[in-house]
Formats: sequence, C-alpha cells, structure tokens
Amino acid sequence: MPTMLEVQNLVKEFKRRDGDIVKAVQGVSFDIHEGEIFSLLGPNGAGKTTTISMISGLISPTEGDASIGGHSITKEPLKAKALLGVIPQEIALYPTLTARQNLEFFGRMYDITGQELVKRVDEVLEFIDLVDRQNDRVETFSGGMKRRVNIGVGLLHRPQLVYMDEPTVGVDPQSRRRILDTVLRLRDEYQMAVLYTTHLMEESQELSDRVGIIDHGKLIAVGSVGELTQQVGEEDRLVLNVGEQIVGEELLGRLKSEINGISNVSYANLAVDGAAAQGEINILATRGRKALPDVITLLNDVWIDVSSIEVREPDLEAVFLNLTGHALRD
Amino acid sequence: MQKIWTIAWREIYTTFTDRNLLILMIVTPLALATIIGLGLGGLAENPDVAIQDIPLALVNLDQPNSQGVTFGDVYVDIIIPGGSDEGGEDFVANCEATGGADAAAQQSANLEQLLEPVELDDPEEARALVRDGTYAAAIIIPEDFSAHFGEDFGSSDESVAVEVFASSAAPISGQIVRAVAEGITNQILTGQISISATFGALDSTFADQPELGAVSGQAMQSDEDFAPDFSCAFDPAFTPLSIERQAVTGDAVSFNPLVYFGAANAVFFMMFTAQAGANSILQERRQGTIQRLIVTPTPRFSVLFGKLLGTLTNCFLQLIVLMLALTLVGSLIAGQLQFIWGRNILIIALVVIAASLAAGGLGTLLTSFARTPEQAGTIGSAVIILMAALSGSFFPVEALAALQPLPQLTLNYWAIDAFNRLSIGRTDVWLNMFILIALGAAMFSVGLFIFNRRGDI
Repeated sequence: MPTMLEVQNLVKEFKRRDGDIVKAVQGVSFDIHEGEIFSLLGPNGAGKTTTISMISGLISPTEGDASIGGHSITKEPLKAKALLGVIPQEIALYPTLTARQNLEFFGRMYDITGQELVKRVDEVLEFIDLVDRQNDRVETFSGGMKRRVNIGVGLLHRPQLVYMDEPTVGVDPQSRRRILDTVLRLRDEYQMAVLYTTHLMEESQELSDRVGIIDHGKLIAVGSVGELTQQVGEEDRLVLNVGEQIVGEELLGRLKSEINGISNVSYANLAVDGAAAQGEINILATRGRKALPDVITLLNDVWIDVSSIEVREPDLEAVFLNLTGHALRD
Repeated sequence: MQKIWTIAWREIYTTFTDRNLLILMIVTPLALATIIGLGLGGLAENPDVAIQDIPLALVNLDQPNSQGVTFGDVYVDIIIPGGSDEGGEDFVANCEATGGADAAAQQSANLEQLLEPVELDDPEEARALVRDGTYAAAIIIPEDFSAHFGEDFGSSDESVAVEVFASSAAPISGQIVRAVAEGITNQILTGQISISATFGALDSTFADQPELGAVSGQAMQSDEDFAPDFSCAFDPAFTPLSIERQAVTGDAVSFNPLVYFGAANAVFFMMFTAQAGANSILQERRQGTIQRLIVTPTPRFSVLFGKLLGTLTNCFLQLIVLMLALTLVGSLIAGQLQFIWGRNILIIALVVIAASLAAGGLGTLLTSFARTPEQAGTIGSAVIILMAALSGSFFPVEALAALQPLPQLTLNYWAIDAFNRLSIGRTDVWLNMFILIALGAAMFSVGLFIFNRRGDI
C-alpha cells in the first residue's frame, strides 16, 4: 500500500512567558498507508493536537517534517493541504450559513467550482444524510446534524488522507455510532487513509488498523492492537471503583510492593468538573484474579471501600498503563 | 484572487443578512442623525441653518497702490459697513443706478447676521486671539494687497494672499470665514477686471477716434474735480459673477446639521462595523473556522486579505447606504431633491473609500491588542466612543479650546471635515484623504504585525 502520510522526527517547542522552553512534541515519527485507519491514542495534553496541527499546517514544526502524498508540509504546504481533509473536534462552521452554503464555501477554498462543486456538494449531502435540510441554517441544527456537516466539509474535496480530531467528544451514543461507521466507510468504500486522534481506548481498539500511543509529547509505541497487547503478555487489568474516596501515592506504593504479581498501579478520578469524586484504581497484575483477595484485604485495612471490581483481559488501556505507569484517563 | 473574493463575499453576505447588524449599521445612525438634525432645525423649510455671530478679527494692513486705491478698505467696508477710513459705506453703497444699494444692503445684512467682526491693527495679536478661542478666525489683509493689482487696474503677475487664520477648534466657522474671504476677493477681482475692461474699451475707442480722445482729455484736464468713482465696480449688483452671493448667503456657507451629524454618525457607526470585522478574526478563531480556512490550500495572506476586503466593502456599503438614506430624508422634508453631500460623486466615493480604509486599519489595530472577542469589543468601543466625542460627533468641540488639537488626531475629524467640505461644494479634501489613508495603512500594518507575531492568523 502506498504511504499517504510520513511523519519524520517532528518537534515542537513553545516559549513560555517566563522564558522557559516547553517541548510539546519530542521527535514523533510514524506513517500511514492508503486505506488504513491509524489512531493516535493518548491522554489530554499528550501532544496529539500539536502533532496534528503541524501535519495540517496550522503551526510550523520546530524541527522535522511530514509529507502528505509525497508533498512536504514545510516546502509544498499548499499541495500537501490539498490532499488532506480536516475534521476538527469542534464544530467549525458558519452558523448563519446553510449546510449547503457552508459546503460550497469550503469547496471553493479547495478550488472546486461550477458544476463540479454542485455535484460534490450533492454527493456529500447524501453521504451525511442531510439532503432534506440542506437549505436550513446550521445554527438551527441539532448537535449531531452539525457534526455531520462538520464531517462533510472535510470530505468534500475527496482527500486522500482524512484527519479526525476526537470527533465523538460530547456526542450522544447514536451520533457517536454514526460517526464511527462513517470512519469505517471512508476506509472500506473510498480507500481513504484516516488519522484518528482519541483518548478513548474503546474507539481506538474498534476502528484502528494500527495505533500510535503518545504521552508527554513522545510516541512510545506503534503497532496493531494485537501487537501492542502482546507487550502486556498475560497480565490482567483489575479495575476497582472506590467512589468518592481519594487514594494517595503511599497506598498505591504499598499495593505494588506488598502484593505479589502486581507490576503497575494507578489511581484516576473520573469525575467531571464540579461533580463528586469518582475514583478508579487500575492494577496490572499477572494472574490478576489470584491477586484480588490480597488487594481487597489491603484496601479494607486502610478503610477504603470498593464498590465494584472488574477483571479485564489485556487491552490498550493495559498497554498504556504498562508503558507509562499511569492510566489513559489520569 | 478568487478565494479572496469568496472570503470577502461571505463576510458581506453574513453582515447584510443579519437583521440585528443592519439595525446597528444603518437604522440607528440614520435615526440619530435625523433626530439631531430635526432637533437643530436643520430639516425645516429652509434646510440650511445659518450660523450666526461668528467672532472674527479683521486686520487691514493694506496700503494705497500707485493709483491711490486701497482695496483692503473694500474688505473692511463689506465686512464692517462704515469700518474703513475711506468714507465707509460710501464705497459700495452709492450705486443707485445699478440697484447696488439694495444689493449691498442685503449683503451687509447677511454678513452682519453671520459675522461679529472686530477690526484689529496687529496680525500677531489677531492670531493669538484666534488661538486662545476669542475669535473663530482672523482675516489678515497684507500691506501690498492693493499694490498687486498693478497700474491701470491691470492684474499683476505676482499673486497676493489674503490670510484666513482659522481656529481648528471651529472648523465650520473657519470654513465660513474662508468662504466669505474668497467671495469678497472674487468680488474685488471681478470689479477690477470690469474696470480694466472698461478702460480697455475706452482705449480702443480713443484709438479709433482720436478726436474724441482729445476732447475727453481736454475735458478731464479742465475739470479739476474730475475724480471718477469706480466703487460700483465692486458692488454685488454690478459684478456679473456674483460669487460673493453664493459664498455669503447660499449653500456655500450654510451649515446643514443633517450633513454634519449625518456624517458624524455614519463615520462613528462605520468604525464599529470595521472593528466588528476585525474582531471576527478572533471570533472565527474561537469557533474554529479560521483554522479550518488555514488548513485548506489557501495562503494565509489570502485569508487575511479576504476578511479585510469584506470588512472594507461592508464599511463602504454602509456609508453609501447611509448617505443615500440621509439624502432621501433631507429631500423628503425639503420637498425637493437635495444633494446634501455635494455633487462631486467621484470625490465623495474616494472619501468614502479613504474613510473605510482608515476605519479598517483602526479596527485591525484595536483587535490586535485583544486576546478574546469580548476584550476586543470593550477596547474597541471605548476607543471609538472617545474618538467620536473628541471629533465633535456628539457635541460641538469648537467651544472647548482646551481640547485642541486633539480632534485632529481622530479619524472622525478628517472624515467629517471632508464630507462637510464636499457638501458646500469644495473639493480641497486631498489632505483629508491622504491622512485617512496614511493613518489607515499605518494602523493596519501595526495590527497585522501584532497578529502575525501572536500567530493568530
């Protein structure tokens, strides 16, 4: 399969107001082939968006380069951009224009004009299933419909590489399912290469042909889901819900040192802003079921009540925990 | 270029299909200008409201020329009837045969109502009193004024200038005094040409009929009291061009509040449009559309120029629509079509473009200092309102000498001044246009530099 995107040693440094240099991306390299879905998986702030911003030409890299369809983003940015379809996380549309007007406007920005533009817009409206609402202003649409127009704009010029930035954030389950199906259709029906960023392990696992795991600006692993989970070996992941109770580093250290077979322990508070704590302890352990009684006993000793326990087979979350020492949603 | 137009067209389409924006851009300034105009009586039967009692200093330094004539006295007599040492009102009022007395009386009455003149001896003192606000303007007639008219009433090759020293605090009064001075100068010049032409005709007659010339010469020599009175030549009824009538009593010196406050409000609200246009860069950045444009194969400068072109076109259209609407309002109330902005469509359009460019530059600069659309809105509103107040958009700043020369630092001042000049038929607005374009370009460049440095676009 021909390579659609080749990323070579991308580095991005930002200068803070106090003069310190922050390395947001540190030497990221990977490639994506035609008809392949590649997920960039990492927690918020890991460097996914900065990496993608450099690839799409929004910001220039401090070092390194990337090429789309053989065109360098630093030397031939316009040619490279012409092959890239961008579907941002936020709804990036003009609310007072209709769906059709939005598509036509952005189509012209890709040099599509005249009858060809009319034809492409019709095709896209059909693809996103909004033919009957094409002449309504976007501001009157539901969130899911806006998402579909948002996707349509990125596909109008028939790009060879589509970049989707966490497109399911804040989306209801029905719309989420529709978006995931769309991504699969792009690969299966149109042979497009898709670069998909997410912090949701489940999406990455379902969609991806290959996954790149990124943390603290570094790409720490690349491979298929199967290849990556093999790195964890036979280790199970124990997920213990502790509700509003806060677990400190000392207890996590005791779990790791006092119980045999545990290789990694982390705690994450999954509560959204303002809500009560929703604590979750993630434990990576060989023969996790055997270690479970000891874990419960130790937690009881320090008055931590466990409200639910789940033992999971090796997955990308476990891989991430194994590689970084902390959970994806930390 | 096609992409620039596409981006600009979207800006224009979005603006002119937004009902709320249109109310702010067109309806509000139109209503305000009309209300203020009505309040000042500018839309009564006679739409031209005369300004009265403009304090004027008059300094006549003129000395008699070789013919013993002092044309400076004509100035004094017209502005202050009976004010010269040369017989006062006799100079222009004794022309009953031509009906000049009535015309002169009418002119004097108009000027008496219009001006409150005081004759001074020292030009420096006059200038100082203008600077401190005692007088709105001073007319200074130089020593060699009459001398430049040459012998035999022929024109001199050298030009001579009557100085009109006007206070920047009183631009309208200054314009009126200048128009009066131009009118009187033209009146003198016209009269002088008439006399010259008369003598030329006599010369030709005497040359053709030498015997007639000899008889006339003898008669003149035998009559010691022969002293021809050419004063009627300077009379408004005699002079065929009647320029002074236009200058003193007609449109030229009239103050139409609909024009002044129409221009002031149009420029004021146009600056909000320009600022909103520039602010849309920050708004689009927030909603992600500017990023989406940048990731298309469109150069960044095309994105920026497209937005700028859209904003400038919005400003241009807003001003044009407002000016047409105000023309309609003025015409409806006057009962006939009134070109309240003047008839020089080309120069009016150029001034509108210059004002739009200046407003666009200001909007870009103001927005470049802000991080968020809200910040930009606050900073922009504060600066625009301050500039409007300083420039006299809300109240006449002529009365506040302490503010000088701050009004001239505002874009509004130069734009309003240009529109007012055009409305009275003047076309000397090139300085205004130059300042508007230069300021606009400078502010736009600085704003662009800041935007670029911050990496906003």
